[in-house]
Amino acid sequence: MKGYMKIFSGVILSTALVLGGCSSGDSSADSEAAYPSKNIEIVAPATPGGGWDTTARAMQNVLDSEELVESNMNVVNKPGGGGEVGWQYLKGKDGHSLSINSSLVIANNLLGQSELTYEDFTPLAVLATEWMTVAVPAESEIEDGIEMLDKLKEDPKSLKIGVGPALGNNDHLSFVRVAEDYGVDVSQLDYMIYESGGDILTALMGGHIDVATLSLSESLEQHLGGSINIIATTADAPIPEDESIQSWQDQGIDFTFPHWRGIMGPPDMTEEEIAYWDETFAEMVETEGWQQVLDNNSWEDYYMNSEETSAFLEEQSVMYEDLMKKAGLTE
Amino acid sequence: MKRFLEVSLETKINGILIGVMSVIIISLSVFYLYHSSNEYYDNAKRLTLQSAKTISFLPSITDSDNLTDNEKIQTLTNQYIFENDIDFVIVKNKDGIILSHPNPSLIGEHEPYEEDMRANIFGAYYTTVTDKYVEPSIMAMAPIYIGDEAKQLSGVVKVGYFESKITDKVMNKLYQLLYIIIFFIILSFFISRWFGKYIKSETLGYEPKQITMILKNRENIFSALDEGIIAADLSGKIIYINAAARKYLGSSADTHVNDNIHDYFKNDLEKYIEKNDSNHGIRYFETYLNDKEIVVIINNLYEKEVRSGHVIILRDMTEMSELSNKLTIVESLFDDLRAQSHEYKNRLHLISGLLEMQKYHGIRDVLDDEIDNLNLYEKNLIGIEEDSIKALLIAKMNKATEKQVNFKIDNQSQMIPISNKHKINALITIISNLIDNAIEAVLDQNEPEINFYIGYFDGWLEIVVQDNGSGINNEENIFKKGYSTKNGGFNRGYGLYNVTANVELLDGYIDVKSRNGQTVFTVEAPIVQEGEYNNENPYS
Repeated sequence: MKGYMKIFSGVILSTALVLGGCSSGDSSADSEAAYPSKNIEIVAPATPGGGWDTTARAMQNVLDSEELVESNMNVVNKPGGGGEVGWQYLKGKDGHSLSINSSLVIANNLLGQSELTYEDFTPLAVLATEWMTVAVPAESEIEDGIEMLDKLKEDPKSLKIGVGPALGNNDHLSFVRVAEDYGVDVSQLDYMIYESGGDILTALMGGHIDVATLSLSESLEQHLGGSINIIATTADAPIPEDESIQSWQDQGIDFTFPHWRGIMGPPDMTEEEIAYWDETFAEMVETEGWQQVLDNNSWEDYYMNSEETSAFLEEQSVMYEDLMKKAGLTE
Repeated sequence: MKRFLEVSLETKINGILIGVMSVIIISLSVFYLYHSSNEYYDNAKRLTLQSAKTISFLPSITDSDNLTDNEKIQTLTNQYIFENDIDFVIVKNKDGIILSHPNPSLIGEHEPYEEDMRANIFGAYYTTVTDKYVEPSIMAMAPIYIGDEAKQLSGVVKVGYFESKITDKVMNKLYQLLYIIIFFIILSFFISRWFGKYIKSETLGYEPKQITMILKNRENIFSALDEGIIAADLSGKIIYINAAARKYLGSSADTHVNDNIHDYFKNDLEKYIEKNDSNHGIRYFETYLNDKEIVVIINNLYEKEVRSGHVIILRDMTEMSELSNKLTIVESLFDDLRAQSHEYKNRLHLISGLLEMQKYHGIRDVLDDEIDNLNLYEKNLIGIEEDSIKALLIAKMNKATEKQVNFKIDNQSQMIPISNKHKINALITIISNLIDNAIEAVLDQNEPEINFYIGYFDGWLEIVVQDNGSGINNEENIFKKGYSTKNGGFNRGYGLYNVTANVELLDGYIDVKSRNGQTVFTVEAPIVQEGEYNNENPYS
């Protein structure tokens, strides 16, 4: 028995030494230069103009103008695969690359479109949330949400629905949930899938699609400009910019759905790096500049630090899994 | 459990070895099998999912104008099945109309969305296990998107892989493994058989219980013996010692194991152990241990024909030598009585004859002579206060008289009583043997004569035996065991050896001088007088 203990403790000891050697190596590398030691890269995993791109650029802008980060920051667009391309890119980077994320980081894996899960990254923060909207072209016959649902209930294929950048994102899920609740055969719905919110708006205004599901930030400007018409939102309160916009609740469907956006880093970020961003983002969300961004984009402050974000993502993951397994099979 | 363990050592070893080896081999195999079947399963999942994705992106499908050209799609899928290790492909359009199916009669039919719902609504890629088609299969689902700029979900591809194929592969592996398992179990069987036999040969075929029993019995038997038994290795370290030997060695320590045997015997033992000449290595000598006369018998121990140690047997001789001395005296007295009765008979005949002849003066002379004779005995023995020596001397005197030997005791002889039995025994042996030798030596002389003196002076005892025999040629050898000048060598020659042995016991000296027809044995030995034992303070 004593012999076993000797061997066992020997193994433990050598493991500890090896690990200790590794970690001390890391920390010494860190102490050489304080983080961040080079340019910061913010990955927007979508084409310019969409929600992710907007978030990334707004963040860069605020951090820069408020001088919260001394290093230069660049926004890099990596569109494709519903975020997959950008996030795969991030995975191979060091702690100086960050990426905007959303519920797709959870949903992609559940949909079998990605091997990546939110657990492969270092959650840093949830920054903001906004509401989803359903919009139609200004010249559309459809006046409100119920009218649209009635049409779809009658013939699910009667309307072309624009969604992007991929099926299974919040825009899509929120739409499916409402339609499903209303009794529409969601399996027959006819979607047109675009790479970004900008493409959807173009398609909607160009009459290529009849309906689009978009985030409020993507649709509000065109709505206010009169080129499209928001017929429903997933909000639980009136939209300040245009209080005439009706939510699903206003139309008698008890449904709200926040669309959050956050930021995450590559896997295996160090404690110091995480602490740095926790501090930086906590300061950022308090700034005037960031408030301005929220107001401009009709977002709401939804800040969580890295620890809270980890818990939140886990919770969301369970919720999405539940939603997807039930949809279309309830009857 | 207890009954289960009550089997022979060989069976136990076999059981444990075969059992352990089998458990290891089988559990490793089970683990391997489980692992590889998981791998097959994962491979099948990956393969079907990859195939489904590939098919869903094939230009001939995405270009096929909203999935209408059945024949083109069927040709495509059949070709794909043929070229890849998959078993069936089903293609459905958005409405659930089957465009390709393993059962051609179902083509064009409507199939509602069920397990493929998630692909149809959310565009999910995933696998599932189903027995909906042909046989239980692993089936992967992939949505078909049509369009370039704006994609449209317009159908689903399902690719299946029969589970039976995985089962077949696993079974194949299992058969291969079975050979290996059987081989190793047979191997372990032989190894354990060999090992069991080896262990059994090491224990001389005894079961552990028997060995324990033998050891216990040995302990019991040796404890019951009066003889002390000590086993020691070549360096003299005591390996085993029984209760009697412990008693003889004395000392306060409970156990003597690991002590050095030579500590107890001074140089004697070493001296005798070195002497490895006679009697198959058996040597013996006498010594005193704690006031006991002990015969020490040394025997060699051998391991594989190499001397590995000694067995030392201690035999308490105190009582026996006492007894033998008493016997010597009794025997002498008996001889004496016989001789005396013979003498008296002769005297009585003489007196009777004189009476017949009425020579009464002659009778008086005879009687006076006889009375003088008795007085002479008494007179010369008067200084000898030790009764047993006195008795011995009377007996020897009579023996000498009977043999017509003139045995004179010096009238200066004196001896105080001795309470130490060992010393008396030794003295009796010395005196008895010296006188006997002397008597024998003078038998063939014309006027045989023996003079005996015993004296005590200043703590030293002196014994002198003088005879007028033929003398001794070889003064060196006479004290050796087995040396004899007499005929019929067997069982003779112990007399002087015993004398020297006893002289040594008393820490005394013996000396012999032979010249001018006179042989003189002189023994000197220290003797402690009564009351001087306790002489811590001689002035008190």
